[in-house]
Amino acid sequence: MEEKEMICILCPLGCKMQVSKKEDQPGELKVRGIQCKKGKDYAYEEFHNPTRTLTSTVAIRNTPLPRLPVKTSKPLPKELVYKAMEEINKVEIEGPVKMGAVIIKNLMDTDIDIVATRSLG
Amino acid sequence: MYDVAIIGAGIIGTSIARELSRYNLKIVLIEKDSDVANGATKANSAIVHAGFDPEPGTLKAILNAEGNRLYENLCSELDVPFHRTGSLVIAFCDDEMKTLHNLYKRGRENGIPGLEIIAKEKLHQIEDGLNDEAIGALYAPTAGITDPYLLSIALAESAAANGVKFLFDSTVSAISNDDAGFAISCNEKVIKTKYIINAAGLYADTINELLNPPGFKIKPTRGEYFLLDKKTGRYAKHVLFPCPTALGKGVLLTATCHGNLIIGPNAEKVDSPDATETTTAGLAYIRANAEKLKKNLPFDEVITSFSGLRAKTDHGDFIIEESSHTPGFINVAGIDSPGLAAAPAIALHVTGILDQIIGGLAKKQDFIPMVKSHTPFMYLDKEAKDKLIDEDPRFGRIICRCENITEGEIVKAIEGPVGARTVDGIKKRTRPGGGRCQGGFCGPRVMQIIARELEINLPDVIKDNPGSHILTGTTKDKTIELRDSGPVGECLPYNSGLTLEEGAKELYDLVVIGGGPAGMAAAVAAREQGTDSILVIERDHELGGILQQCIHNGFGLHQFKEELTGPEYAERYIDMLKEKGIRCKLDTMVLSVSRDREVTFVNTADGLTTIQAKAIVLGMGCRERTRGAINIPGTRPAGIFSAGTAQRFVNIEGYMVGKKVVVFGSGDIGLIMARRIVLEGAEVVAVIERKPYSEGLVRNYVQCVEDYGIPMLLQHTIVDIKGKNRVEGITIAKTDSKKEPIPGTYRELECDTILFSRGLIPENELSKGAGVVLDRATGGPVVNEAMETSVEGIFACGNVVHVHDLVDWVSMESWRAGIGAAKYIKRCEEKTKLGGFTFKTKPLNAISYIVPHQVRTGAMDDIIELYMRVRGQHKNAELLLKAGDMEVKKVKKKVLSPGEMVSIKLSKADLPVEPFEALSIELVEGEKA
Repeated sequence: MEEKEMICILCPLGCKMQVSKKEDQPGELKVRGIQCKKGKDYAYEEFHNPTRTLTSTVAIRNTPLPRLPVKTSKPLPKELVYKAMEEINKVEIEGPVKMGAVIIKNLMDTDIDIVATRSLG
Repeated sequence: MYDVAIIGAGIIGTSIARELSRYNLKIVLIEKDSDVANGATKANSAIVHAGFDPEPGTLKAILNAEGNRLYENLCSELDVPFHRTGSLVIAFCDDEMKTLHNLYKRGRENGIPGLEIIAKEKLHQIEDGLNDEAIGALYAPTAGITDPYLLSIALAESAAANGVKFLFDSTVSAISNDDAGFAISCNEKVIKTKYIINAAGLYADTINELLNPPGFKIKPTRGEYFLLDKKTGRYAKHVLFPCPTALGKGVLLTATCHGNLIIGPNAEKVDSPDATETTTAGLAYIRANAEKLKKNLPFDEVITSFSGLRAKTDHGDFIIEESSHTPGFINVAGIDSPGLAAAPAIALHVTGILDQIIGGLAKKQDFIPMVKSHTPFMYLDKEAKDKLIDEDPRFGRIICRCENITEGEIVKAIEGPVGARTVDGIKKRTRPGGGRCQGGFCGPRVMQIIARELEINLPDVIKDNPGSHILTGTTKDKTIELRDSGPVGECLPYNSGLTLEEGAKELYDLVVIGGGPAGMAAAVAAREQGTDSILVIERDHELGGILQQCIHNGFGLHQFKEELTGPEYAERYIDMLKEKGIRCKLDTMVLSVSRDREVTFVNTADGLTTIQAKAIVLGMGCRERTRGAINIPGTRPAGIFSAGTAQRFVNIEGYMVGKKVVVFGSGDIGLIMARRIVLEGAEVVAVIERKPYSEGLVRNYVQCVEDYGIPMLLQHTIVDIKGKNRVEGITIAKTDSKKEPIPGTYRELECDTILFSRGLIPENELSKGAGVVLDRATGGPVVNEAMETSVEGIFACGNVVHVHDLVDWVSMESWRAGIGAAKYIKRCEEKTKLGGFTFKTKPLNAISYIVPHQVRTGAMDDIIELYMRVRGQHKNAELLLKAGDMEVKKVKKKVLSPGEMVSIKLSKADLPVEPFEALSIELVEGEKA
């Protein structure tokens, strides 16, 4: 049976959790080592659908600085992080740009955009 | 065909080159490194010895005495600093007093003027702070201090102006001779010359043996040193020596020409002329010995440690003679101490030898003694400063914030045939990176100026010698053209619009120093309270401070109730400033703040300007603790960064700092940088942490380290750094409960880069200048509930007061400072007085500090927030608040750790109405983690 070790990130306690699927109730999780309800919800998310907000930069021309900071408009499935970086690294845009501008629309058909996190130029 | 080829461009080679350039000779100076003064000249005590020490009759004795006499004129001619501070050899027992008398006698024989044996009382009078056991000293008034590399550079500049040709990066590989003269092979070139002067320092034996049978052998002897921050120089009014022993002159203390304190050296024979690393044992030895001379030396102000090699021979004396085997080949070898002091006399001596060989040298008519001034911009008077900025506005732009060095000086250092071409070259000439941040802030900007002036790409800028590349490429594999380093953000008009009487200083209600999160929040808050004329002064090209390089998310959850990245958080505040029409000056460095609230700043547009403020908010933030400050021994190659500097390179400038990276310290910046490095395609070999737990937030451990499978080595430390030009690896060890390395657990790790993430230090140089009282625990000003410092009308907030974990708390604290300043201005105008009483806050047991340090109940809001940090990790502990003896509040905390700031809200209603002296906070232990 699959059991995942994880550390809860919600508070400084950093509870070490052992998370596995309940054999008798599919879809339910057995979580050991957790001390609060919020932690259990986190474990559920992190077990089934771990996501991360990815932040990086893209190359930009015609601006006083050569790189523009960007982020995913929503948290991205964790396993797509490296692929997303490949897409981000391909981009080269022209300034000026405003904070919030969409730099890559619908990244890899995820319905997530890459947006500028500052105005530049 | 040259007349003379000099091999080696240290203090000896350059002294000889300049002296010979007075004559009609065609001269070439050949140097294996990229710059002059790169061997023994680069790392020594910088002392011009009086000359009582060498054995009478030796070359050392004669040339030291003569060299010392020549120093004053030479240094004034070249505009290089030289101060006759005098030296004291200190005796602690009767035996040592005997040694002093012997030295005195010897000094008299050597013709050293002014020597005096002084008794205990006078000794302690002229040099305070010596250990009580010091019973007497030999005083030598003619001893002095200089700046050896600046001297060497100035000599080289003069030599070049008088026709000497310089060849750098040129290693001599072979020498042959025939009737016509010598042929020197270096870098596949052949240089022909009639005479050779071997001034190759640590390699003098190698050069000699290219043509001559083995004679003298250079036995490199290493000396390690500590260098302490500026202003610590006052700990040594004189050059202070212990009594010499068979091993040498011993560990000395001296001020440098720039006001630092230098402590060292030890003396250790090493195998290689490249062994310039520092060692744990060596540094410990120096500290122990220095403390025998003076107790209470400020070792917490160490900014770096380094080591240099002395070119000793068994012969003992200097070897300065024409080779008996090869006529026309002059050896100038074995120049260890007092080589620096003797250098001007050695140059004359060698000229004499050459004169005899040639049979008369003819003097030039048009000798150029000096090429350019070496007086730092900041040492000039106001008139001279204004004039320079007028002529070239780049003198109005400060690049190095620790030493206040301008772009104009850096550009000037690059000019000319012996101009700097490397980062260390700039440091030797004008000292950016020589201050307490060790180049953390100015490094990237200095590199940009070098690249621009030499018309090369940034990754081609090197630290020192070929191969010492600082950057390893660009991010995204996309090229970057050099851009103008002018202001990036919008600079709002700053003129206060007040008409001034002739000569009056411009007056502001509020001047905010620092346009980071603290300064911006304070300015916005003051404006909301109705303060009219506000000026924000920011040293960088744009507002936002360090947030602009913190491109990760996790900011703003408390302040804006949503998760933002650093630049987004900054931009929200920048927009508020714009909306409120708050005036800012960018690219502007504040040089001083006075108790009377005068602020002096410099920039390219206004030059040097002083303005008057009714109130001031200090928001200068903090700097990173460097490798030097924590004394990690080893070599000093390229590839060592503080995490924040690396973050700036990667996130803002778009350059990669390495390929195989080790992060030392598990603070949040370190963890976040580990992830950034991996995402940009490089490898993070390990994160190393001395403590048994990760210091950063749990979330950063999980999402930056665990997510990417980066090994986290807890309870480990770095005990050695290896690599000559670029980092090649480190030695790590397990640590014990005191965080000290455990013998027998050492192992090697291969890497090309080390990022130091070892904590932050509030940046309080301006505060100190204004007479603001600092708290030793926080490193920042002591403040009251309105964030007002000990100086009336001067407020402080953010990381300059104490290092925060979240920017949200910085903003909130800074709002209080802004409101406090606004209310203060109003109170002054209305001449109202505060009622109530003042109590102190008092941290007990495991609480390391509390901010604010005192509270005036008359000015206090209904609810006050107290910020604090704890020592050690604690679980289920209670924080107990007492007003005097009366318990006023108890707060349960599930977990407390040093990395996390604790805040407690305290209601005015909970406090006694009657005056009490202190509100104490105590940690009542639950289960120990």
